Formats: sequence, C-alpha cells, structure tokens
Amino acid sequence: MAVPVKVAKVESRKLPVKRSPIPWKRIASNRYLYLMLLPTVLYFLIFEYKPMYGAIIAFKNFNPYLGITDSPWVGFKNFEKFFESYYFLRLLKNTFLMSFYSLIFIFPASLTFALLLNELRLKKLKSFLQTVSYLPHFISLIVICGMIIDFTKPGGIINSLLLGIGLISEPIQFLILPEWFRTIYVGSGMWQSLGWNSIIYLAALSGINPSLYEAAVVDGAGRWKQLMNITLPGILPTVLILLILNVGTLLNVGWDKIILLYNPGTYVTADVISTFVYRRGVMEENYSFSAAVGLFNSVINFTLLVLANRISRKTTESSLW
Amino acid sequence: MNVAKRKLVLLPVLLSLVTLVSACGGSNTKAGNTADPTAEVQKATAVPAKEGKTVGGLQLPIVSDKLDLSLWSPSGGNFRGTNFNEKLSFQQMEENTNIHIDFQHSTEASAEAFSLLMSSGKLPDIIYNDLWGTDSGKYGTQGALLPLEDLIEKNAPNFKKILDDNPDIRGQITSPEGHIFYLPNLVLDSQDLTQMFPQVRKDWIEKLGLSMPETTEDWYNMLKAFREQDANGNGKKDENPLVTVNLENIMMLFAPAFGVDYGFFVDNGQVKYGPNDPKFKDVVTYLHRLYDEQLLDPNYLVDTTFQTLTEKVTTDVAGAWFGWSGSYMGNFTTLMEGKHPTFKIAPANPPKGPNGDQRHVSFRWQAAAHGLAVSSRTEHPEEVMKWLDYQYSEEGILLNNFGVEGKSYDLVNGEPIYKKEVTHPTNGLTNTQELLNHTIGGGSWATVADTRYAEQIREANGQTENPLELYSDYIDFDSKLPPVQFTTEENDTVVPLMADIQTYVAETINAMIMGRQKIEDYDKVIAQLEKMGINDVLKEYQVAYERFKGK
Amino acid sequence: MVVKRSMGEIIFDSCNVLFLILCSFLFLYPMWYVLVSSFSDAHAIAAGKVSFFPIGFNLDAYKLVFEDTRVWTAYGNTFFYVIVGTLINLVLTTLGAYPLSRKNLEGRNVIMAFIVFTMFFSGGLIPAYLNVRELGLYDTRWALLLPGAVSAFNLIVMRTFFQSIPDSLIESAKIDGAHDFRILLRIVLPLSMPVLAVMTLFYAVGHWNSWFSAMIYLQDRNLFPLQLILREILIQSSAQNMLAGVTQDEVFRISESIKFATIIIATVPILMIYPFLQKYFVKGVMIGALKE
Repeated sequence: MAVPVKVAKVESRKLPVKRSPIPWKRIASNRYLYLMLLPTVLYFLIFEYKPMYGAIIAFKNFNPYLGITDSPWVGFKNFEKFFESYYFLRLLKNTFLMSFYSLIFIFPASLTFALLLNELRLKKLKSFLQTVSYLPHFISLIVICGMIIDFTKPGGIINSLLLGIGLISEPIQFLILPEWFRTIYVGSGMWQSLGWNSIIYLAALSGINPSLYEAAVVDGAGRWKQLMNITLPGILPTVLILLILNVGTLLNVGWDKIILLYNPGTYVTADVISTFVYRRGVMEENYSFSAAVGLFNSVINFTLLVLANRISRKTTESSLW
Repeated sequence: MNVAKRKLVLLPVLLSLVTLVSACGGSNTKAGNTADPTAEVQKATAVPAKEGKTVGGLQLPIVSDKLDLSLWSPSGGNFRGTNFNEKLSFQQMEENTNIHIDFQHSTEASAEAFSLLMSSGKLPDIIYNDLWGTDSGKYGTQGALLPLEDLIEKNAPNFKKILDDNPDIRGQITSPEGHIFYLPNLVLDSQDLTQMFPQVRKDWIEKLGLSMPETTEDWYNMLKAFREQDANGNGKKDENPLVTVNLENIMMLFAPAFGVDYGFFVDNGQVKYGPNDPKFKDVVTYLHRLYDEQLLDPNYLVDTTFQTLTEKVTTDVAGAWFGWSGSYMGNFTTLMEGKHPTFKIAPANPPKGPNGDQRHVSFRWQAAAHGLAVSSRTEHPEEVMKWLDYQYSEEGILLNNFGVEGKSYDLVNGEPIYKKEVTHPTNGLTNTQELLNHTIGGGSWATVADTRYAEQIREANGQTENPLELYSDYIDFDSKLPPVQFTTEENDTVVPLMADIQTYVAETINAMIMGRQKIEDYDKVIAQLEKMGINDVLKEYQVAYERFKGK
Repeated sequence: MVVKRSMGEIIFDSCNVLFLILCSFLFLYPMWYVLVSSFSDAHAIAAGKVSFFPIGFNLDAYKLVFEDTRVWTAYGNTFFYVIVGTLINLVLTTLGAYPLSRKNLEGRNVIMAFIVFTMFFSGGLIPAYLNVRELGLYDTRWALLLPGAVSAFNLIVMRTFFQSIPDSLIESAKIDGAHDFRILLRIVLPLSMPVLAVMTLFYAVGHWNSWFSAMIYLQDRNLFPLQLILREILIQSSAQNMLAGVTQDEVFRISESIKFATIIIATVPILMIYPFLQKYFVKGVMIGALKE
C-alpha cells in the first residue's frame, strides 16, 4: 500500500523559461551527476529491464541449452494454452477474490483504526498503540506462516479457544478446508498490515489544519460533527486515491505467503496466478508457459493500474504520475 | 508428468536407503557369493592405492594426478550430512581412485533446486536425481546430459558386465532414441524388489481378539475396532487407526484391491489411468467411508512429513500404515523398545477386494529411477565414467553399502559384518542413521544394493523373519507400468496435459474422500478427464509402452 | 485545548480506549504466546494448557537450537547479507537519488520515468530467475545482494528528501568550486541523516526477513540465511533432521517448543531494535507517501 502518491499537483509542468533545444552546456557541467547516476541506471538495466526482455520466452519454446535468442518462436501458443486451460477461470477468480476480500476488510479497518487512534487523547497510550500495531509488519513471513500453521492446527491455540468457549464441538482443520483459506489469508493479512497501513491516514490526519477544529469548537460542533465535517473531508483525497490504487492492483497477489500455507486440498480457493506460475515454472520447468502466464498477469496489472490512475487523476486530481 | 511425484521427492530420498532394507531377500545371492574376492581387494587397498591395480577390469587409481570432479546432489533428509565428503566411504574412495569429488549440495527442496539447476546450462560433471528414470531422456535430448553407451562400452567394465548379465536392466534405462543417459541404483535379485507394504499393530489385533486382515472389509472392521474399542487402552478415543504421509501410499494399499491403480497401470497390454477407470469410484467410496468414520487420519493432507507420522506411531495412537521395512517397521520397533510393554508391528497381506482382486504394487524394477547422470558440460567424460564404474565394482559396492573396513564393519570369514557401534549405536541415533555417517547407503546411490545390509540391520532390530517374502506371490510384473521414456514430441504432449490432469485428480479425489464432493458424480470426473485430454496422454503411453516391450 | 466533555464523549472515549487496548492485546498476544511456549513443556503446549505463562518452565529447546551449528552458520550469513546488502543498497540508492533530485539535470524526468516504470511492470519470476543464472550469480552470495539492490520506492523517498534541501546551499558550494561528489559527501549527506536512517532500516529489515530469493538462488547450505532454516523447521516440520545427534524421543518431547524457540531467536533482534527505531520508519513512509 505504501506507494508514492502525488496528492496535489503543485509543481507546475510548464515553467515559462526558454531552454535551448540541446543544452550541451548544462549536460557537460553536470557530468559528475551523470557519472554518479550510472551505477544505478546500470542496475535497472541489468536487473529490471533485461528480465523484461527475457519475458519474450513467453512467445517461444524455451530450451535452456539453446538460450533465449535461439529458442524457436511459437507465437501466442502458450497464451492460448493458458486461456483454454481448465484452471484459467478459477485462477482469475481466486486471484481476484483474494485481493478483493483483503481490500474490503483491511482497507476500512485500517482507516477506522487510524480514526480511532486520532480520537485518542492520551498521547502516551497513542504512541504505545502505534508502536505495537506496526510491529507485525516487521516480522518475517516465514515466522508468521509458522505461527499460522501452529495456531490453526487441531490442538492449536485457536481450536482450543473455540472449543473452550463452546463455539465448536470438534476441532476444525483450518488449513485443509478450502473454505477457510481466504479467511486465514485475509485475517492474518489484517494482523500484519493493519497498523502499518494506518500510517498513511495518520499522516493525512496530521495534515489537517488545527484551526479548523478550533473554529468548529467555537461553533459548538461536537466530536461527531467534527469527524463528519472536518476530519473525513480532510482525508478524503488520500482515502480515495488509495482506494482507486488498490482497485488497480486487484489482480496482483503475491505468491510467497500462499505457497507457505496451501496444499492440494486448498488449491480450490488458494491457487492464484502467481502461485500457478511458480509451480509450473520453477517446479515443473514449463518456463515458456509460465512466463506467458506471468506476462499476462503483469500486463493486466499494469493496464488496471493505468486505468485506475487515469480515473484517479480525473476524479480526485491526484495521481501516481 | 511427475507433478505429484515431484512434491513427494523428500519421501523417496528419505526412504531410498530403505529400499535396501526392504529389498532384502534373506539369502546370500550373487553379491553374497562373490564377497570373498571383494574382501581380498578391500584389504589390499587399505593402504594407499597409488601402486595401481584393477577392480573388475577397471584400472586404479583412475588418474595419476589428482582430479577434481563436481557432483550435484541433495544432502538433506536421510542422506544425513552437510557434505558427503564427511562420510568415510567417500574419503576412502578418493584415496582409491585419486579423484576428488567436489559435492554441490542442495537441501530438501530438491525438486525445485533440481529444476533450477537444470535450467542453468552451468552444470556440474555429475548430477543426482530421483527421477532420472523418466526425466533423463528429456534432458538428454535437450542436450544437458551426455549419452553414455559408448563410454560404458569403453570405460566401464564393471557396469558393462552387469548390463550383459542382466539384459532387462539395459532396457529399463535406455531412452526411446536408444541412448543411456544415467546409471541407476540397482537391485540384482528379483526377490528383493518389494518396497513398501501394509503394516499393522499386531499387539492391538491380539488385544482386541481380531485376526490379521485379509479383505478390504477385514481392514475396515479392524480399523473400526481400533478406533471404537480403545485399542491403546488409555480410556480416550484418540486412536488414529490408519496414518500416512500422503494419499499415494494409501492408494497403493487399497486401489489394487479394486482392480486399479492411482496412476498409470497395464491391464492386458493396455495402458490405463486409474482415476479414468469406472472402478476407481469404488476405491474412492471405500476411502470416503474410512475418512468419514475417522478411521483414516483426518490430518492426512497436511501431516505430510515422516516426523509427524513417527510421532503418531510412537505416541501409541496409530494402528496401521503402508511403509518400508527399515525406516518404518524397523525404526518404530527400535524407538519403542523398552517404552511400551507389548508394541509389535506385523506385515499384513495386500487386502483382497470384493471382486477378488489382490495385488501388491509397491515394488521397484531392478534399475531404479534414481541414480547419477553425466552432464554434457563435463571436460573429463572418461574419468567421470570410470569413477561411476567404480561405484559398481565389488570394492565400490562394499564401500557404498558397508563403509570402510575396520571403521563401520569387519570381515568375518570373508563376509562383511557391521560393527556393534553401527547396529546398536549409543549416541541416540537409529542404526540406519548411524550407518549414514559412514557411507551413502547402497539403496540411494548409483551402485548395487547389497542384500546383506538389510539382513543385518533387520536382525539387529530383532526382526527374525523377512517381511518381504510375503509379497512376492502378489507381485504382478505385467500389470505395473515399466519405466517408459518418451520422445521429445511425446513429452510435449504428455507433460502439459498431465500437469493439469494430476492437479485435477488430486483435488477431486481428495475432495471426494473428505466428502466435499459427491462420489455419485464420478462419471463427471471421467468426462472431465476426457475433456482434459487423458485419451491423448494414454495414446502416447501406449506407444511408449509398446516400444519398451519391443526392446 | 481543554474542553469539557459531554457524557456521550466520555462514554465514547472510554470505549475507544478499551477497544484500542483490546487491539493492542491482539497485536501482541501471538508473540507473547510464542515467547511463553518456547519456555514451556511440549506436552503442556500440545494439551493447550499454555496461555499466559510458561508451564513446566525449561530451556531445553533453546539449548538444542543453540547447539545446532547450522543455526549459527545461518545466523552469521544473515548478518552478512544484512550488512553488506544494506551497504550496497544505500550507496546505489544515494547515487541514484541525488542527481535525480537536482532540478537542472537534463533528462531527469525521463530517467525517473525509466525507474518508476519498474515499480509497476516486471518481466516476472521466470525471466528474472534465468537472468540471475545467466549472470553467473546463481548459488553465490551475490544472488542475494545484487538483485533488488535498489528499490525504486526507496529511491523516490530519498530523492524527495534531497529536494527539500535548499538549493542555495548546493549552489554556493558549487561557486566555491566543490564538485558534485564532494557536495554530496560534505553537504547533502550530513543533512540527510534522518532519511539515511530510514533507508538503512527499510533495507536491513528487508534483508533480515528475505527468504524467497535464497530459496530459488541458493543451493549451498553454507550460504543459507536464517529464514531458510526457519522455513525447514516451521513450515516443513523438520526439526528432527536439523537437530542431529539428539535422540528421537527427546526431539518429540520438545519439538513443539523448538519451533517457538527458533521463532524467538530469529525475531528477537528486530523486536529489540524496533521500539527505538519505529519513529524513523513512520517518517520514511510519510516522506515517500506524500510527494508534492
């Protein structure tokens, strides 16, 4: 969620300064700056753009012993195979639902958490709560999944608790039952990111001019009225753009947490595009096929993001670029 | 096509050493009879082998100036070791051959690690894999592996002799194009081929007044009694009658009783795919009944490690399982020694189904799928081949199976006998684990598995009879799909189709067993498999099978 | 601003405090549970008796984990990756961010777009993997250090910070004849300590927690970071293999607590430094989040 956002485009695009078409002088005077920039640019070329070129194996029948260039072209065959695949719709659906549920649960929860924190008047407690709520963000995924596996097993703490208060009479096999997978994924995601996600709202909240509140108090507005009339409108642009950007990443679900938690019994709900790419590519060596699936996903993600950004620019006047 | 198998790669690695234990025929067979000359040779080489000699026609040392070769292999699981050069057998081997092996190890995630290695184009000289049997042809035609037939002819007298004496083996490791791309682990005696088999808690059966199960109904009743009648006597209904590390093992136990297999099998010369057969519905119905009444471990899908299974057995809640002789039966027996007054495991017959089907399917071919292959990038093909051939020499076989004389075994009347420190270790390890500190284990390596290994370990564990003898009567070589290999074109058809099919089958069958999907709809499963191209796959299998038979 | 609170407000405030305290309990309790379990008897854990305090207090699990050399090797490796990796990150990010923060740099928008684009589009897992192999980084420490050496997001954060440094400072140094490297080193960086702290933490925590690239790029166990060993113990339940030399019986007795002990050992460094540094993290997110 932490993406750089242009909240307001203060920076004017057209400076009324005339520049010579080819400013050799300025380039020459900045030669050290370019030199400085070189290693970083090289990094991006080698480790980001070269793999983008490598993605053309999606259109080839890649044989590692022939190399990328010499492997034979097959056109869109790999893509067609994927679209015709039995799993195509399911992967799409699972990928979408996984982030959709994350969005509709974690997004409002983070916002509410930030608003409640903001209402808190005990400063020490507030900073303690913040510290505590960001903490899960720094715990490694392996450890988190290890905890999930341990907590959710029969005899684990969650089952013991549910049995103890009489909600269930038999322990539930959470990690075997596909209907629980999204709950576990989203629930643990909430634990991991709720506090961290609230930072951006707290930032927006602290940016609201205090004099607005003072004026409201003078006018006799209560806390609720202040919330409705000042606080919410004050952070609305931030909320909106984050929401739109989230929509833009709806088909972008990471594989790492899922591959640590799923099994064939839960593929029905747990298998998403990226995990499918991982299995087919890394484990089964269908490089070209999985590169095609991955590329398809990248392109969809990118398109969604561009669209979201465009909508965001039109409706909220803030955008990523 | 090995989607399911690949995920289980841990298991074969873990258990491959036990192929030995389970593969024991209990008699001094070929390897045993030829032990004497081996012993002489072994003694002779206790001193550095620089002066030169031959083993089975192979000149030692292989090179006069020390040569470094690289070898990739997983090291986790029961291979037990951070680096194989810590094993005494490989140290001795280096001394005898004058070749230093630079081991490149990966951990348990060997299926991934292996795939990744093979995609690199930067390969070590020698590569270990569990699935060369089916994969070597593919990598061979891609150009990753060196065809070995000529090299064997010229540089591998020991291995060549084995091939000449056992023509079947040559067929089992030859690719459709007629190349040999790997050297397999071998079992030379056909009696030693049984691998896993059904094992039950004999003491529970006696306690509850039952008899050993014969039919699938007997099995159901026995498991039911374990669960309902408090077999472990702790007053709690905590029995977990049938436990397993994966569905495949349970399928090997029961599917043949209904006339099918979980994977590909041969029925009167026709290759069939079990889940595609209407009879498979009965298997699923049966397993669903077990699951529903909690006779099959409700956790079977997530408790997939050998450790969790061991825990269930040693905490006295598990009643039956399908496993190996050594790592299951022997291991559990040792672990429970002195901790449980009556604990006893007995091998059970393969269950007989309602239509009288009774077959034991867990057996290996003489040439195993695991072994060592030579990469096309090697600069020393001849030396590599000679080093590999050494693994099959009498001396190499002894080193791989028994370790170094005086360290892990002694020669008694020309017979290698494990030292007491190995068979009864006092350091908390089981004897198979202790042995692996000395050597690689004859069942896991490109060498010949020595029957005397399993025999002695079994005796050490207090098992008097050989459980494997039970099963030879139920083995039907004709109905098991041999290790067929595909041409590149066939592979291009089979692999992508099977990737989808296997995922689909695993999901659907598990869902039906767990009662999440209606078994009455099994026709739909078959229809779906047809839609997913199972018939095209079967066609290729049939071609490959007939080609194999023709060899 | 002292304002009299109405009855409703008082009720709301109290509920709010209670609710938030409950939240903080939920955030903390899992870690607390792990901590007490790591000191507890495995049977008590399995029986669900452990909740707030250790039952059957013992240190056996820690003893076993500490005795395992592999854990220590991995610990050492992780420190190496954190320190060297973070250094590389900082150097490359700074060298990229500073020139791009200079308004008179011709073409900076193009270069910026070139960098930002990588945040939103990538070639995917497989090509990236093949790339690392092709470069010969496979199964070397470099495979964990070079890919991901610059995070476009962090570069933007840093650049935003640099832009806030008054131009006049830099211009006057230029007039005094200092060249750009000198300016960066002597003037810009000393003013940028807060953002450097933030970057250090972002990158360091990232290295500490990273496992996926190690899983796909490394084969040599001697190069493994701690997280991969953790994965074996926690996700694949293979504590038994790891703790060679211990009797199986003993392993079963404490296998549960071993898991918890390894979690603690792997997480403690972060938990220790985290409270002191969290305000920097927050600052970093804020700089990055709201660029003008």
